[in-house]
Amino acid sequence: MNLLGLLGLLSLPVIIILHLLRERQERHTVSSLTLWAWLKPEVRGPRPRRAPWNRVLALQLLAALFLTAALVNPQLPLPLPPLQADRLILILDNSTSMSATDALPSRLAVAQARAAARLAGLGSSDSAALITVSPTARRVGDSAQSGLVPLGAELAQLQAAGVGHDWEGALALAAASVVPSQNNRIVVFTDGAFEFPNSLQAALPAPVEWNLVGEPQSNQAVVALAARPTPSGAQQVFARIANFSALPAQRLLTLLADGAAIDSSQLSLAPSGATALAWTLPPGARAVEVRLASADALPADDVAALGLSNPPVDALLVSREVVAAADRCGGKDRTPVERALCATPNLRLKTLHPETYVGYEPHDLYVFQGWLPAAWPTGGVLVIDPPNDNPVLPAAESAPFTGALPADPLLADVNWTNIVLGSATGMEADWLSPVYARDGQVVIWRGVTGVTRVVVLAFDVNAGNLAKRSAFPILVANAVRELLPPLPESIQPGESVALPSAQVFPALTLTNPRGEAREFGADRPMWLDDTTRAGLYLLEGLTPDGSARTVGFGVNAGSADESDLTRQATPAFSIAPPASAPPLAALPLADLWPVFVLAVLVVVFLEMRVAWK
Amino acid sequence: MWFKDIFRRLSGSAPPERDAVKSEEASDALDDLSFLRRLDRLTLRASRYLRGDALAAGQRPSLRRLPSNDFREHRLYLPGDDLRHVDWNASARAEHVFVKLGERPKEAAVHILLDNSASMNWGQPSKFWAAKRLAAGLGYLALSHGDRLAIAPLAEGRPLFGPSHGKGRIPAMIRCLRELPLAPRADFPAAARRYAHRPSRGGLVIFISDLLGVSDLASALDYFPLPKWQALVLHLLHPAELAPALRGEIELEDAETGAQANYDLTPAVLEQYTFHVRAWCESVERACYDHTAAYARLLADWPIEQMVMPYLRRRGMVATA
Repeated sequence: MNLLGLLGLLSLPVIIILHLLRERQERHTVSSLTLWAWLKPEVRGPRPRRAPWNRVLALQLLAALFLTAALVNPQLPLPLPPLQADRLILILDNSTSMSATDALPSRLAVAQARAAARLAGLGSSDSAALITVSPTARRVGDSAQSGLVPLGAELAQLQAAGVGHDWEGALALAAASVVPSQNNRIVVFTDGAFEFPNSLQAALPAPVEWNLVGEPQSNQAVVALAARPTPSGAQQVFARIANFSALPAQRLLTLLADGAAIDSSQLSLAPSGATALAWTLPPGARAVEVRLASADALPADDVAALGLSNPPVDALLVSREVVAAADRCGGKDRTPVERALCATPNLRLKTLHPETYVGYEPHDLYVFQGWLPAAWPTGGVLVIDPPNDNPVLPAAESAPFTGALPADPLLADVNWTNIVLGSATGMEADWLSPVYARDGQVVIWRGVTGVTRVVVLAFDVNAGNLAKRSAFPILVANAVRELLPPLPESIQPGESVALPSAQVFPALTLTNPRGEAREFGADRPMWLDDTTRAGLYLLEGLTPDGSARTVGFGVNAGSADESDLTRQATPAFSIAPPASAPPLAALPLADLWPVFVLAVLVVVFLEMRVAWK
Repeated sequence: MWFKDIFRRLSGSAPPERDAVKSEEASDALDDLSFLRRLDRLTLRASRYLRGDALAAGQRPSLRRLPSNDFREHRLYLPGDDLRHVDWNASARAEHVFVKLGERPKEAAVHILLDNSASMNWGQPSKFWAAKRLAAGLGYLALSHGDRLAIAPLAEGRPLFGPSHGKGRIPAMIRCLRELPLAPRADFPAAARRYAHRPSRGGLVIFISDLLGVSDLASALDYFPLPKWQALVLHLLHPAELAPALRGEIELEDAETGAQANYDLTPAVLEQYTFHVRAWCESVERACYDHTAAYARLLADWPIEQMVMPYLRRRGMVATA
């Protein structure tokens, strides 16, 4: 309502004054006023004017009133059908528990079917957005950009993958997907098998509708599987089996090493209890699996796997201080840098003098100490004490660094107490970012240039006492882990894993738990995202020297959060629209100005007809 | 739009009545004189007792018999009588010389006093336009039947035409009427007194006026007594003066004085106006009859030939020749 529109009422006296003026101007000449001299005195002479009421004046006043009403724009709650387009925001729980088969074919499939039905009910002017929750919130698509049909296709392709729920991110994405001018509604499809964080009971700009699928089910799962090498070279495997049921359960457990069953036992699981098991595997086992027979409601967590072998890292150290050798870790009189690199697990070190660097073979990791090549090699590069005059990492004098640097994984477990560092070289490359500063001078940098990841230790390790402390091999190991992430033993469904580089395996074959093989060449992606199926993933490849190697990692779906299918209740929280938003039950306020404008047009038309008649 | 004429007054445009009255229109009143020829069979009725010039070539019968060849009676010869009128046969039978007496036609003096005040210049057609046509018609009757004609505007009080007689003066009369100017005002009694006091043998005096603003008509008519004068008052009005087509609150302006007054013209007021105008006309007519003046009320939009002359004939003011 616009109260300033009431100023339009000032037009009413203006119209009356105009009519009075018009009447006053009506003068007629007569032959003589003596003919009128006999009229009664009260009708003669000037006297206060009266408004000349007629139909024209009445219609004009009525038009002015309607126009004023249109300017004020009153609103009335009318039971009119909403003219706004519908905006449907679908939040789909795609966690591992949604792959439970109590609702055939699965909870996720049922949720997908219900979501597809909601999409099918939208009109041409409506729109929808699709958001998944697990393992991290992700906006899959939006029909405002792609249309409803592509969004439905993306919905159908979703798979249950991931442990845990990112409700905070999902609700934030939903709030961001709200279109204020449309009739928004958030629909959550989930099985309710989670604990909703109380801290997220914030208001959303749209009403939330919960759509639950599945029923509470009993379930047994391998919730933990780990391995530890023994001093003798054997692997000790630990497993934890949990029973998420109010009833005792009997399950047959089988242990497999490299695909061969080496143990099998009948487990008796107490109600809501858990059993821990341990095995010692002979040396040489590359992968281990634990399986529970006779599938329950959630088969995905009945299997767990571990990869026990990682591909070696081929490192090349180029320094004037070292002796050229093909396998330096086995030699003697090693420099501190050589000792730190050789202390890194699963790393093979080759050393070179800078003069013989030309014509080198490709390596996973390059370590340049006191020297830099004319161009960056491909892969990870650790630079120690860079020279001042080099073409790829020019040195520069810089102002003292006064900023604060956050804790960095590169410095994890590095104790800088009582460590004296040599003078550091200033860097001017804009692709480098500081990691650690000492006495106002940045001493550790990291950055990415082209396809090369670089960590720079900009000081002489021999000048201080760092090389004599345990912090140095830890720092080097952290740098190697950052430059060449190792293949994990196991991950959770939906997580990404870094593939071995083409220098290690020029050709690589990935076999998933269903036995489906996938070939990777030299132009392989850095990360593998297709890890939705639980089980053992095997990577088979040929090393540059022609030897075949097989490594693996497990994708384990079992967890206390996802495997507990007994928790099936409506979420004990309520998400209400903000106070500023119109209440859901309230009738929409309809603007009445179009009605008044139409009335103005009608009255003006009538006035013109009357005035011109 | 409805407001297009709100500031009409500021723009200086004249009201419709003023637009209708144009000087060119008044001058065009005598352009079409074809109706005059069709008035030949009519003549003004004048009293036999009016003094006329028997020596002139008039057509009106004289009360006195003069020596004439047209014998009616005899009288004794008086010195100075024309010997051509001596009836020698009758004188031979008697001892006296007899002169033959007979009727000799005389002329009548017709005076037309035309009101040329500004109040006459009103209406569509204007009263001045109708008055000039009426004066032309009456003057044509006088000149074509041997009467002596004089035309005087009331504002002047003296003749601008005549006294003249004979058909040959008709063009001059028309020219005089065509060039007759309008005057801002006219004092009817003063003009009547001034005209009556001129050396004259009297005659038929015809007043053509709307008589608006004439406060003392009786005293004006007193200057024209019988039998020297025969007064005829032609009261010329406009139909819009009898029944004005005005409504609402209106500011009226006097065409002659320029005075203004506001009136709320409701139907009741207009009815009252009509009543008073009719009463005023009756008072004028009564004053005329009280002073032995003939009265006839004419309307400006009446055609001369079809309505005015028949009406005057019925009122005995004109007759068939």
